[in-house]
Amino acid sequence: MSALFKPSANFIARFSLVAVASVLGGGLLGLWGYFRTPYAQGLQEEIVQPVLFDHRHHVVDDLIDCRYCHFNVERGASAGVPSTEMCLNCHSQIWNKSPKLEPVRRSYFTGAPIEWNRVHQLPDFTYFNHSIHVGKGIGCATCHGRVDEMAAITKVASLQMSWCLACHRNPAPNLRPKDQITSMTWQPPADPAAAQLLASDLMKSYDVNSRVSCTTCHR
Amino acid sequence: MSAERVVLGKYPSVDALYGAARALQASGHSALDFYSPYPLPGSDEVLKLRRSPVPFVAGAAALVGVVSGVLMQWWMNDVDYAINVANRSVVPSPTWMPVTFELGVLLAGTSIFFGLMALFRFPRPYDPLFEVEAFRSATIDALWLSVAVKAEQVSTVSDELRRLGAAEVELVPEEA
Amino acid sequence: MTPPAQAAAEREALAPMPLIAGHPTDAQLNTELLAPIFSPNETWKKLVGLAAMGSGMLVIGLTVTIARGIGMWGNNQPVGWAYDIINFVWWIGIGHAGTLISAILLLFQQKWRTSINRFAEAMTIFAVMQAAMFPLVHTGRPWFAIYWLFPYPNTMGIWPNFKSPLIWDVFAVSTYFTISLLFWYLGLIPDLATLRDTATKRTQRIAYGIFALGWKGSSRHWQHYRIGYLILAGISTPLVLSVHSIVSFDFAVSQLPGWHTTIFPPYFVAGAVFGGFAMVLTLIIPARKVFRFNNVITDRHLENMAKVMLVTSMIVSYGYLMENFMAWYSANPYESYLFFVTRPFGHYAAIYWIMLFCNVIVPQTFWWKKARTSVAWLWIASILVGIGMWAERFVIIVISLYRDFLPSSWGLYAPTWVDWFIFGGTISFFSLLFLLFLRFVPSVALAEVKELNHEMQHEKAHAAGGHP
Repeated sequence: MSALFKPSANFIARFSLVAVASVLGGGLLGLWGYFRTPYAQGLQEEIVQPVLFDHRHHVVDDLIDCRYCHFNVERGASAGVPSTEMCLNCHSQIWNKSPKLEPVRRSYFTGAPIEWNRVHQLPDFTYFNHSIHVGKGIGCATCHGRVDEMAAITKVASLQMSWCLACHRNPAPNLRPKDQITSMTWQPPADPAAAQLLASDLMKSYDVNSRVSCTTCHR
Repeated sequence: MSAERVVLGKYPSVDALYGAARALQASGHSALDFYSPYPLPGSDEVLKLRRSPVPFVAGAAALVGVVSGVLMQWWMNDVDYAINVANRSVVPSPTWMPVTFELGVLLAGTSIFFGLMALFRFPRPYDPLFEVEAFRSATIDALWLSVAVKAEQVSTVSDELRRLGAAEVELVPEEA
Repeated sequence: MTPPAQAAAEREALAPMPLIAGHPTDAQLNTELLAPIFSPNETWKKLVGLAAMGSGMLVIGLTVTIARGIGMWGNNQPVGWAYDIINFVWWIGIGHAGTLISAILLLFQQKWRTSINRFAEAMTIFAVMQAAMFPLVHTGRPWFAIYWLFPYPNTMGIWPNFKSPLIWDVFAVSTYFTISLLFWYLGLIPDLATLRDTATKRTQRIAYGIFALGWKGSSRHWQHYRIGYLILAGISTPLVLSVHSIVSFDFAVSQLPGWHTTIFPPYFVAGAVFGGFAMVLTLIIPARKVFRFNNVITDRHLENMAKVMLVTSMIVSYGYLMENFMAWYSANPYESYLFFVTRPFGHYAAIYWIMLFCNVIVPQTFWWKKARTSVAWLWIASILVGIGMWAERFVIIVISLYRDFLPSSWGLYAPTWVDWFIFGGTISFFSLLFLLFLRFVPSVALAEVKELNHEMQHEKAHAAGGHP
């Protein structure tokens, strides 16, 4: 005469239910959290290029403006990746025998472009245009970070839609005067009141509006 | 605290079961319960059970579902990311009715189920009653009565159950 | 014969057929209704094998769809919805009869529901599972679709559009599935406990014991249980009405001739119950033969279901009539063209006429008691109605779409082999689940049949003039 289950079965039954629920819930929560980590967003990955190109040297030491190489940023959807000829504007004269520049010379003489590795990749269903952002006072560093401090370029913005929306809903804090567009060090005025005054001035003079309609980016 | 024991009696009919219960209640035993393969009409009155809280749980859950449904749709579609469909009136939109209704039903239904599980303290695969082999008939074709008594009363109560028409009397073993 | 005895005999002749044949005891009912679980059945094994092989088609169809995309299906502009939505609506409609039987008939205290409600509820759950698969897969890449379907804080910072009937559908179908499952399981708990206590093999006892959760039939539990079960039935009733109304909104809220009709919600609900009852009959007639449930699923049950089908068929026919009337009365050229040219004489006219024959003409035979009590005809008619209801969804979806407003956009639709595999696969998978259910779960609600048996014996004792 004995029962089918031992008294401990009650604890086991409840514990296993709680365990299953926690694993399922924890799994979902884990997925939710994972996509918010810099790792999942590809933020800490240094993208290595076929040529050992160092932005720090070109921007800080040589004081070359972003727009010298990314010449199309004020006119087109894409900022433009410099052609090999662009590199040789200088490097036909200086460091023209450096072994580090061998891939550039090979590209020039064979006519095959350098295969740069892409850092920022938006899906095709997202319409993005550099010129409108630059033209309305969004600086390079706002989205691309301190490129002047990067040996190899690293993504600093997730490019997730919520990141885009944060600025599209409230662009004011990210605006800067257009003559400071390519500055890596420009900061809004430290005094909050002055910063707000500048932001609202810029909103008005550049005609910046919040844009959250679906068709702004998905057309 | 004197140890409590549970005595079981098997009765041939509902009338005999209720008669025995009433006699036991008259002699001061109130910790009674019946076990049957299907719900017995009138058992609530005989056992003097209080009203079940289940309807209130269901009603409260339905209300929570409806209110949170409205708030959710309002916050998501009108506040956090306003979707303007052809400039139609936004708050409250008749288009919210289906989702609001479904959420009310969903919350009410799930809380009834899980509320019942909590009331029964389920899952509880082990119960001291299951130690009694004959008690298996409780879910098949037999009517059982249980009464919790002090250890020293076991024999007198057992005799009384038999006198009240029990076909079989069993003492539930103490929990191991 | 003395006059009172004669009157009693005449009354007896007029009385409806019994709901439980014979005068079984609880123990007899127990043995009889649990027999399928304890005795293996050769026919069952063959059918399971067949259904399992058929389910392979579903695996193939879904794999191809997910690997290669929904381009493998036949639908393309202008027919953007085809087998996916036809089958979705067909399956979810079938589910409705289950809830109707278990919940609405419970509220109306229709005693004849008792021996068929478990079947019907299982049918609901399995049918909704098949149904839910279609909209999920037709999103193409379902793992990317979760953020349109459920409101959760996603990395895009957007929410579903609650003004869309497709979102209403998601909420309706997932609520319907959850509530049906809980309702079904709650009803099963006492019967699983009975199985735990009846079974002799230890493994069986443990398996059923785990799922019985420790039910012991205590009156203190029954008190909460009954009220909880009744309220679940109470909320399932408006729920089932809402689900097919919402499914009909998918069409009715649009602007297409043949879709944007205000009669759609009631007409869809009636159609769902109609098709669902047909499916119950299709399943229950062979099941009761194979498992010998004739004592509790009597001819009276079948006859009652035939009556429900007759009524719902008339509601559906009224819907057809009203659609045509509105098309004529509105004098809208697109409406008229659809209802008076495309449907009756267009490329898919045969399907339209099959629909009318199966849904309007066939059930009319149920005016005759002979048709309602002939098991063979009931089974054939139920299958015809199943076909008719499928044809109805085809008529609504494909025929409205393939003739667009602009003749330059006209086009035809033909299903591909993947469409057929998925459709056939869901039928097989449904059958497989149902067969497993018949074998491993008490397919007749034991506790409720026992309760009904006692009630009826009690009533009989009263009618005989004996004191209680």
